[in-house]
Amino acid sequence: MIEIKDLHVKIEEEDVEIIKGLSLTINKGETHAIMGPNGSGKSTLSKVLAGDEQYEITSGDILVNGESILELDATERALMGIFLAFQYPVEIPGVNNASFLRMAYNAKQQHEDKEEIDPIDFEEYLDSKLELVGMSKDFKERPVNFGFSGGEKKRNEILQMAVLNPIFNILDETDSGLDIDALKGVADAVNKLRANENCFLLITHYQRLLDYIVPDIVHVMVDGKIIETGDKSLALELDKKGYDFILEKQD
Amino acid sequence: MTMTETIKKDSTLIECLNYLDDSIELYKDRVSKLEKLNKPNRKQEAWKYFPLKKLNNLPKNKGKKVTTTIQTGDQLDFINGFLTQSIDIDGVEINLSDTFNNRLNVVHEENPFTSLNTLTNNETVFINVTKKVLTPLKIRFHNDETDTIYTDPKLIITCKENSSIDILVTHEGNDTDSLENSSFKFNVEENAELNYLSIKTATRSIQESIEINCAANTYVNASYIVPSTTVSRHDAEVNLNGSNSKCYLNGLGILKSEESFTFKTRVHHRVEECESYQHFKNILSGKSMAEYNGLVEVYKDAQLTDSYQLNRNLILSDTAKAFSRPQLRIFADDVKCSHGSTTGQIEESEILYLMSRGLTRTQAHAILVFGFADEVLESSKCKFAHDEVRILLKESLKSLS
Repeated sequence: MIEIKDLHVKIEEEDVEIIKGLSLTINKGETHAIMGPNGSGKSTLSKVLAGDEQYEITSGDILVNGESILELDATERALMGIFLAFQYPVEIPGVNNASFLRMAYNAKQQHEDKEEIDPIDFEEYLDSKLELVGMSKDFKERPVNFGFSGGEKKRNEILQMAVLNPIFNILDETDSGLDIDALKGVADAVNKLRANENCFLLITHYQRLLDYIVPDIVHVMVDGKIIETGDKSLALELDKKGYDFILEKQD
Repeated sequence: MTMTETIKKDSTLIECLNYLDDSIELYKDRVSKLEKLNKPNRKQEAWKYFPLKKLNNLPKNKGKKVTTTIQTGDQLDFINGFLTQSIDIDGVEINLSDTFNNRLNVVHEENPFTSLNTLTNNETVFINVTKKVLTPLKIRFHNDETDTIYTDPKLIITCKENSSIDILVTHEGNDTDSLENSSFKFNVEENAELNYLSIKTATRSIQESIEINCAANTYVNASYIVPSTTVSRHDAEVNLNGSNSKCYLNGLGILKSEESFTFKTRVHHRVEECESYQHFKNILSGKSMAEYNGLVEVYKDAQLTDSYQLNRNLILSDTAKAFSRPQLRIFADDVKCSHGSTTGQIEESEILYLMSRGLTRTQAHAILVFGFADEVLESSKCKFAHDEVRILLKESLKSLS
């Protein structure tokens, strides 16, 4: 489903390479986790996948269902079903959550040559997703992420994911800043969204998230490359021994 | 040399002589004061960034009273600066006085337009709010003349003890070269609450002076939304005279081409345990200019003061300018005072966020700019007007692109 081939990325205006030959394949129904120390390029990878134009892909390719997406902007990528749950969701005063979600939902409908959803039908659809994510109905009227706590913002990202039903879900450090109850809540919601038709890429520093969203495959990313791939036990080992043990193994 | 000739020679605000609509002889005392009234200049700190050339062609004549009978309707209506329609709301008393200005201190140190209003105004409107009033009071200013005119409405609004009211003021009209030189004074007595929202859609220039005097345990929320303007200048002076009073000042300017918007605030914390919060934002395009010049002064006895000034400017063109001057003068030693100022463009990371939800770059930009504006409206407590104002904001923002 998702194939990243020998990807090299630098920041548009600087001559510093951040991703240095990364390859990764995620099949339908799979959940992968990328772990790595600070500065390894994990968040850059998530933004590159979403279509952030401040990064330049110098070589390699990203394929979704066999088609390269390098020429598509962030909007087109979103419409084809790529979704990034941001580490720091943006606050948008003045636009309430429900209107925003309906706008995004209708953009997708339009892209798929389907009719725009009626506001009343959308309300019902949104209520079901709020319930799934465990959010109260008050969030419909509140401005997007504005004045939300850290946990509420992360949960709101998962709500957007639930509403838009993407095929490729990237979660960039969704666990950061969450207490254990909030983490469980977010993880429960993500688990409910995992299906045979979609796939997930979890980006995290810590093993803790993976206790609740159990990945099929775990990758370790250091200095812009994946240096080790394994199953869930790799994450546990990292948690015990730290990233140094992988680096030593490499040497 | 006659008196008039002497004045013509010396006074730089000589055009304003025409604004005294009765015989000059009758207003001798005012004329002599007008003589001393010089136009603002660059050397004055308060006018340093103001587009002074826009003061070169002041309207020649003052607006005329269109009627001597005042009707009763659903809002206070001012035509050419004169009250033409009153209201009948329980708890709101409206009175007119033609002698009031003689009792006011004429010379305003920093703003000659404030002084000019006092000199030229012949009819002051007094509004007394005597209880908690649930019906919002709406006040509209517009002109009915095709010629360019000068208008000088003056309102003195007293919120009596334990009263509360929401006031919506609209300045309307397509009268580009006219000048409205208005003056508002609010006396907020103990335990009273005032929520005030002023919307300017008129194309005439506005020089507005605002004075707010707060007694103990009062709450004031005054918001200024300027979705379109040519030249708009608001000088606000707040006196926190009684402890435990809270004052919120909010302002939003949306500016294009060569429009300019100035908000000058002076908040005087004279006694202990008062709070003041200022939140001013501008969205600038074309060659427009916005200035926020705020000063919070905390007096020696005003311990436990809490004050915050925030000015944010969103610049949408390479040629627009924003001047941001939040200032503090503190003479007490146990206070919490801070200020913040940002000037810049929409962040690419914010655009990416919205694009990654399937919206186009243009849609993303429009949503973020609207959100920037709406935050100020949200700070206003006159919630009943928000939906209508949002429509104005959306229309105004569309005209920027």
